[in-house]
Formats: sequence, C-alpha cells, structure tokens
Amino acid sequence: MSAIKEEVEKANKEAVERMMESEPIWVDMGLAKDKIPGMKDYMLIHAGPPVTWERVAGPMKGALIGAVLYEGWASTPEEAEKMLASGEVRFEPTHHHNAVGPMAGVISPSMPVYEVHDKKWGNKAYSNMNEGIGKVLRYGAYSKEVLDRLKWMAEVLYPVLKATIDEIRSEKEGLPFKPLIAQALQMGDDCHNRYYATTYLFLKEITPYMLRTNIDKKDLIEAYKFMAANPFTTLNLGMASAKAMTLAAHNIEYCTIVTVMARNATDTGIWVSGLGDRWFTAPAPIPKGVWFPGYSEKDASGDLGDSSITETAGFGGFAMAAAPAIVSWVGGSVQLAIETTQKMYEITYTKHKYFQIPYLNFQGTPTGIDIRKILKTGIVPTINTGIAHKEPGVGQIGAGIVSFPMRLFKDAFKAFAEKYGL
Amino acid sequence: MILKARYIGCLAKKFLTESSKKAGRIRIILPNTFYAEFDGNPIVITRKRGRAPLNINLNQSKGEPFQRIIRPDLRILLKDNILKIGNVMVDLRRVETYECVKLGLNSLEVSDDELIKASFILSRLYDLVEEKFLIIYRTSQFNDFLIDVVKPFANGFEDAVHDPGPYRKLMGLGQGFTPAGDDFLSGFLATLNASSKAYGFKGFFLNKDDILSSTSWASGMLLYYSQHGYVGEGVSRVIQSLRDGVGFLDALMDLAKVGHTSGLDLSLGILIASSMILNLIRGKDILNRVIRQFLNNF
Repeated sequence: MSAIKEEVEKANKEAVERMMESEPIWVDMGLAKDKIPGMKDYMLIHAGPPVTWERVAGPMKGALIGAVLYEGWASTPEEAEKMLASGEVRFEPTHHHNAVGPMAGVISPSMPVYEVHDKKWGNKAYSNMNEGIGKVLRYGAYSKEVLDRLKWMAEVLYPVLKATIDEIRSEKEGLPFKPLIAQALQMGDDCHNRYYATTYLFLKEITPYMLRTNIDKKDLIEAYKFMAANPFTTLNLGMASAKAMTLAAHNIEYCTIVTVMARNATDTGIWVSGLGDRWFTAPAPIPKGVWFPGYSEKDASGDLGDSSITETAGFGGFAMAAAPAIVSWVGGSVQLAIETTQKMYEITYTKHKYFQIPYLNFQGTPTGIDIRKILKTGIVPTINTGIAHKEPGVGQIGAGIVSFPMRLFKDAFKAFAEKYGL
Repeated sequence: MILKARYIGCLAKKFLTESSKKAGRIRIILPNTFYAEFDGNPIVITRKRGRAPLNINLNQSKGEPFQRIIRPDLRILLKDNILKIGNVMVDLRRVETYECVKLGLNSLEVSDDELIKASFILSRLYDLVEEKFLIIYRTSQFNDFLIDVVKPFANGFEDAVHDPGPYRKLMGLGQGFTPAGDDFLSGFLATLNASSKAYGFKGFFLNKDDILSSTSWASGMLLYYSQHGYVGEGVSRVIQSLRDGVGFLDALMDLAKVGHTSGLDLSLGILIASSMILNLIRGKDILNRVIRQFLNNF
C-alpha cells in the first residue's frame, strides 16, 4: 500500500472512530454572549457558509433583521437592515463558533443556548432553543408574534430549562444525548426532521428534575406544554450533539471525511476534516417537497440550515429507513426512505456502532461521508429539510428532500490534491 | 412495449441508415443496455444518460431489466423509424441526433500541475476499488507498455507507439464487460490520435481483426471506434479540456465514476497519453511525475 493510501485510511478510520465514540452530554444553558466562544455585542451568528449582505437570501435576511429587533438594536426592520448592510451589526457562520442552528440558525448575544459537552474528547458545542414550526425566526419571520415568542422563551422557557439542567447536574454529569438518539432511531425518528420519540424521551428524562426546581408551577406547566406540543423541541440539542461528534473528527491530516455540511439559502458549503476550516461552496439547491396549503416550489428559497450536521454525524436523512413515517412530512414513499439510506452506505466510511436501523436488521447507520466515495460513485449526500419562503418575513412553507451539489465535493477533492498531492 | 428514444449517436444513425437489409440481431443483453449488430456494426441501446456515437439513449432511465424482456439472437427490424425486437419497439421518430465531435487537439494547454493533481486524484479513487477487480496499473502488462511504448515516445522515439505487440498484451486484460486493458487503450489511443496532426507525429490505429481476436466483440468495437475519435461525451469532455486547460479535473472526475473501473481506466489512458505527449513537447519530466503517483501504489 502506498504511503498516502495508508495515511488516508488511518486518518479516516480515526475520524469516524472519534465521531462514533464521542459522548455529547447536555450540561448547561446560558446566554449566547456568555457561552459561545467569540460571541460579541452587535454580532449575530447564522447557519451555513459565510455570506455578504448583498447576497443574503430572503429567509436569512428576515431572521437577521428579526434578531436585530429582538436585541433592541433597532426599532424598525428598515433600521435593522441598515445596521446589517453597513456592518454595524456583524454576522458570521455559527460553525466558526462551534455552534449550530436549524434553518437560518440565527443566534444573537442575549438568546439562551444549550451547551453540550463531549465527555470523551472535551469539545463543546452550542445551539439555540427551538421555536416550533411555521411562522418562526429560523424560517425568516420576524413579526410581533415571532418576537414575543422568542421573549417568552427567554423569560419563561429558558429559566425552566436552566433550573432543570442545574438540578440534573446536582445529581449527575448532565443528560447524555447519544443514548437518546440511539433509542429514538429505533422508535421511528430519523433525528433530523422527525424528533417525536426523542422529544418524548427527553421529557421523560427531565420531568422529575423540572418538578424538583423552585420554578413557579404555572411557568413549569407552560414550559412543559410548549415543549410537548413542539415535535422539534429536541432538534437543536440533537444538532449540538452532532456538532460535538463531528468536531471530534475534524482537523485530522489526510482525512477525507466531511465534518460540516451547511446551507444559508444562498450557498451550501462543506468542510473536510483534512482541509481544516476551509469552506467549499456552491449555490444552495431548492428542495423537492410537500408544501403547506397555498404554497409551491416557486415560493421556495434555496435550502438552508446547519441541521445537515445530523447527516454528517451519521443520522438524520441517512437514517431515513428508521423513520418510515417521515415521508408524510417530507414527501416520497417509504421505499424512497429505505433506498436513501441504502444509497448513503455507498458514500460513507462505515456503519455506526451505536445508531442502528431495526428495519435493516439493526445495521448501523451510514457514517462518515467520504469525498472520495462521492466522486467514485457519483452519489451525493441526500438529506431531509424544512423549506422556507424565499421572501423575508413569511416563514416555513413546507418540508422536503434535497441533495448536496457535486461541485462541493469536486472542489474539495481538488484542494485535497493540491495540499497532499503536489 | 414501446421504448421511446431520446438521442441517437451519429454512428448508430449511419449504421441504421446504411444497413442493406434494415435488419440486425441482438448480441448482448445487460440490465439497462443491450447491444445489437447491424451488418457487423454495433449499436448500443441504453437507458443510461451518457451520449455516444454508437448509442441510442432511451427516454426512460429505469425499467424492467432487459434480460427479462428480450433474448439474445432475436432479430431486429427497422421500419418507419421504429426498431422492432419481438414485442418490444424502440421508437426513433422524434429522436435527436448526437453529432460526432471532432476530437482534434491543436494545442495542449493543460498545466503540469493539473496533470499531477489528476494522477493523485485517480490514484486515490483507485484506492477504493475492491481487491477482486484488476487494477490495471499494477499489472506487468501495463508496466511493459510503459517501458515499450510510453517512455520511449516521451523521450523522442515516436515510432514506439506503432508496434502492435504491447497493445495486444493489454487488450482483453481484466474482467467485466469492458476489460480494464481495453478501456485504458481506448483513452490512450483516442488522445494520441487526436493530437497527432497538430504535433506532427504519426498516430496509431489497431486493426479491427487484431482487436476482435484479442477481446470480446462489444468491448473491441468500442475500442476500435474510440481510437478513431468516436468516443462518448464523458471521454470527449476530458480530451477537449486538455486543449484549453480549463475544466480538466472536473471532466476527469465526472468520467472516473463510470462503471466499476471503466471510468478510471479510460481516464488513466487519457492521462498517460497526454503526459507522454507533453513530455515530448515541453521536454520536462512530467511523465515520470505522473507515473510516480501510481507507482507509489505498487
């Protein structure tokens, strides 16, 4: 075997091993400005690769404007837009701060965030709290009801969750999230667009601790009802866990495993472990999906969100065969869900040790996207996703399935050849 | 069953038009492709997308495996632009012609760095090929070809490419529908012959009988036409990109994914031929640098 072949093999094996052995644990809540490394005042972080204001697409624009209004830096959308356009308010990718956010993924300094600690490898990852579906900030809506909900989340939901995790921490190290994902995959979730089982498991785990807190009963009930009614309550924790897993696989020399896949509605971008934090980007594709009443593909924005970190870590759309019911949300057939998972085995390094799919005889999920395999097979990663309206201020209009452009992987492989081949 | 055709390659069209009896027979059937013979000439009817001079590309990309709907030696009749094969009809009435592209390379602007990167990329993709498949560059026949043909030509002994002996060792080498040796030679000869006029050396064409006595009919016919520049659009894109030096690696990566190793072997043939020619023209050590990426894998 050649030296490089051995190096690549060794690096990829190490990367997926580290990713699978990662132990993400929910350990704390706090405000973004206190928790997220590098987070500053008058700064926002967003999903996907970097983008300039001139190129920001509708839903991302709406979410950034909404976050400026939420912070009270501006009192009108026009004023907010000016601050963003002039650079008075900076915006950077979440991934530059070890954070992730679904859809627009916009996090502002005073938004509460989950902190996930990887007990095995020591990394920390962050994500915000989930607002539910429809007219929400992460889909680009910023009306009063959206901002009021965010304020309620900060004033009621956050204290409940903070007190709960403190209570958990008084007894143990936190709430391990990997076992929840593993269990939920066997209960019909894919842990990207279907989080019903995960959310129920999460509530089952935290409820005794919630009840032990000194929080007012009315607030506890409100918070519980909000979380129980929102099947995406645990999406953000799942994503932060996936980010912690993929961080463990990142920055390994010679490694051809993808460690970030993310979209900002304008562009889609990836990181490859052996190429560090260099973004490879291509225009964001428009998903094929199931539309909310009154909407169609012509209303849709380009795909967005950091939630594809779940597929990067070996679940989400790659585990669709575990979640046949998901097709009622994202479209397609049960057969398509199974075929999607089966196809993803062809472009991944291994089968996950801990995440298994009952329908496929408890095979591990496809894990460790290898850019070499994508180029050899011509198969690109397929994920499921939410769909935002292309105009700012509207919100979610559907959910669907989308494939990452081949261009990303070609460019990454060319850079790999440049770094290791010349 | 009616199968609508979307494209017909220039050679397929010519063979059908010129066929004296307007009749042929089925030679080979694969799940998504079948080979027919008209007056000794091949026509490839396929559900796959890649257009090529010998192909008739069908509209439908998926369907029941052809082995279940037709059988070898069935007679094909051409009437009113419809190919009739038992109960199956291939409708050519609204078909678009895939015109033959002249492969002439009047310059080779691709940079040395691009060639080195290409060899690195191909090596890494060959790393993924399962052990059960023959890896052409690891064979003694390939090594002999480098010693007897490629290196002498690169160093100015242009006649080295005209001896059919080393080619015979590679023809039919490997398993599968198109053996690795045939694919490599298809890429190699298509590139060599496309450049010969501009660079003032004499090209080389394998004799049809020689080819057919060394490899299978279908693979041999593809090789025979490739050396004359009748190649599919994937190969054509790679060779054309050598000319202006733009998009070479992208085109190569597109081709590399074809089949188990066919795309890789075709790409390797193009890469070795272009490095050999550029070594002759530029007088640098490019060929050895390209080969070294592969030799490191022995």
